[in-house]
Amino acid sequence: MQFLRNLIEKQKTLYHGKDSRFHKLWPAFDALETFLFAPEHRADRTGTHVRDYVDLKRVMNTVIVAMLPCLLWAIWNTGAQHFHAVAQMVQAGKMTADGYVGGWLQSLFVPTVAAPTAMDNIVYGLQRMLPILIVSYGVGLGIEMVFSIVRKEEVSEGYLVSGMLIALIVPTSIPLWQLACGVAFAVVLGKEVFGGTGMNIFNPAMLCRAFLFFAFPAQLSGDSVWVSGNNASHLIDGYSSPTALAIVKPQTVTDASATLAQHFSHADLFFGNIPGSAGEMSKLCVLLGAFWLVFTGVGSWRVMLAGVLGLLGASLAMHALLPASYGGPVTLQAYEHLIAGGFLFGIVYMATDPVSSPETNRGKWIYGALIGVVTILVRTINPAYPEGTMLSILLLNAFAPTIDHFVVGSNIKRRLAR
Amino acid sequence: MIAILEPNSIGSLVDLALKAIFSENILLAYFLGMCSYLAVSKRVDSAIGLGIAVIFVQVLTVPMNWAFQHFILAPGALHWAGMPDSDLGYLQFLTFIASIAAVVQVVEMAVDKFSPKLYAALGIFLPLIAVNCAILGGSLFMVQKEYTFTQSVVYGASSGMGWALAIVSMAAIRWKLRPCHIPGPLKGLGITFITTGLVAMAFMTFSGIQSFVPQPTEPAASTPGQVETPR
Repeated sequence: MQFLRNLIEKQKTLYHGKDSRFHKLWPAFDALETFLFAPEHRADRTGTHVRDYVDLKRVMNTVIVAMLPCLLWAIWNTGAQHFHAVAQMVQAGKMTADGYVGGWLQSLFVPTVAAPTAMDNIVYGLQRMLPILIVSYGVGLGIEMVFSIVRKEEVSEGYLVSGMLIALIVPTSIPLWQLACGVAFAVVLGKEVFGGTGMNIFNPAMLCRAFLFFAFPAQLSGDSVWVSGNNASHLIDGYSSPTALAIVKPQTVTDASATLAQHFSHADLFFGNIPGSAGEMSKLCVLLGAFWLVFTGVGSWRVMLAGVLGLLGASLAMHALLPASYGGPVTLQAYEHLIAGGFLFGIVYMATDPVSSPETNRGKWIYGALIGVVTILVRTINPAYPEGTMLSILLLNAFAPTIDHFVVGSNIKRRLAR
Repeated sequence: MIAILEPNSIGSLVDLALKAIFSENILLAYFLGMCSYLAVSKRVDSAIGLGIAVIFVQVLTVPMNWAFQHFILAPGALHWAGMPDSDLGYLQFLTFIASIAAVVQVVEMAVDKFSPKLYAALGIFLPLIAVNCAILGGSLFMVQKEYTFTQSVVYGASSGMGWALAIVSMAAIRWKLRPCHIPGPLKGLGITFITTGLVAMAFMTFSGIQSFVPQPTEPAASTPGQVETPR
């Protein structure tokens, strides 16, 4: 460690001073240094100061730790779903195990297609997830770096979390150039034009997905994108694998719980043995992350609890309000809405973003509950989208400052009345 | 099984309202009424005031113009006066604008009487509602989409509400953005336009609602792990 410290101190003179050689690149150097070592905070001798090593970078790292279970499950399940699909295709005679064409990583670790091992699943998962992570981080951090250098500010750490979130909420079959477009849109128009980390109105990861969803609907929705393959479009040709919510979406479904049970057991839904976006499948992993976020005090338990209660309440209310002939997801049990989609992932990792959610505690309750309610409204009465979590979080991001405004106003009124 | 609901049933009116508020928001989807939206969205309080004024004017003018359209302007509308061949459609703009201006005048006097503070805050923008394209647009959409009277009341209220929601959320966002390091050239209107675009994307949440019509789906496509037959 001391060796690294010495090396950095030696290089620092090249960057730090006003007229040193590479002063323009100071933000980049500083980013690397604070990544490796906690920054030395020097306080004045006089006055009161709070000293805390939990700076932005530590907070972001805490969130990343919370996302690790989801990432690991994403790697595993991407491979598992892929080989499951291949087995189905082989069984249907559309493909032969010998004709299987592997990807770049699989050429090093050749899979046994007829009976894939755990190792094969992981290798395939890495083969899809690594490029996605690299593009997401590379493009995002590259843009942040350029903006910081132009602005002469320190590179901030906000993107460490967004980059991972983006990788976890897109389908693994996404073309990398589209992902790069989405990341560039989210970082530039969702964040940097507002002044960078901590100033954005919308959650950048959600914006990225919403942009991709509207710009490239063929690669972000439908029944065939959720399991990835090895051909040019990263799909398995002719294989269809709708998500749990897409299965019960048609209004002709009169008993959604039974329809769902024909395809996925509750254990499959809970442990994440289902097709879907990369990281949102396993509710168990999300819950582990949620406990970690609440335990460390980084994520707001108010938003999470309010969101879950709002979702359950709204689903019971819609069940009671809509006529009995009304089919589709409204006939799901309330708790099935929790385990059958990406709602838990959204409310735990995206809605709790401290920047784009309300700052007041009462505001957080309202915000979380409304996310749940809007999600149910979209799932039940909007035939266009099966999921709804993404757009309801974005919608409530837009209203977070308004909620704060009214909560603060009512607090002031209450104090005046005392 | 395709069940299209009656145009005046509760379900279809809820659809209409959700559409007018969110996915077909008169401001965020049609970009009508931008000028007062950009100018008055600096403070939440005046935004709320203008929003309420717009809702009020919409609720009055859309049904009123519905009556004008159906009893005077439309081809054959003057049947009741013994003129079945009349077609006063060319007077539509003129009539609508005149009725809107009259209603706005009444609202202005009412606001001045009951809330001088709001009257002062709104300033020139209250009279400007008379030429606010969102108001005229609301009446014209009502004609174009052939709404019934009940629908026109709901449409007036909800399109006004959509406009009010948009301007209030934008005012709160702009208030929150004050300390942000927005790049120089984008300060003011630039960032407001960008934010408007992003908010418009968020308002797409309810797009696709279509009078509770169940979507015809191929049951074959929704079986997981199923191998499609080549087409």
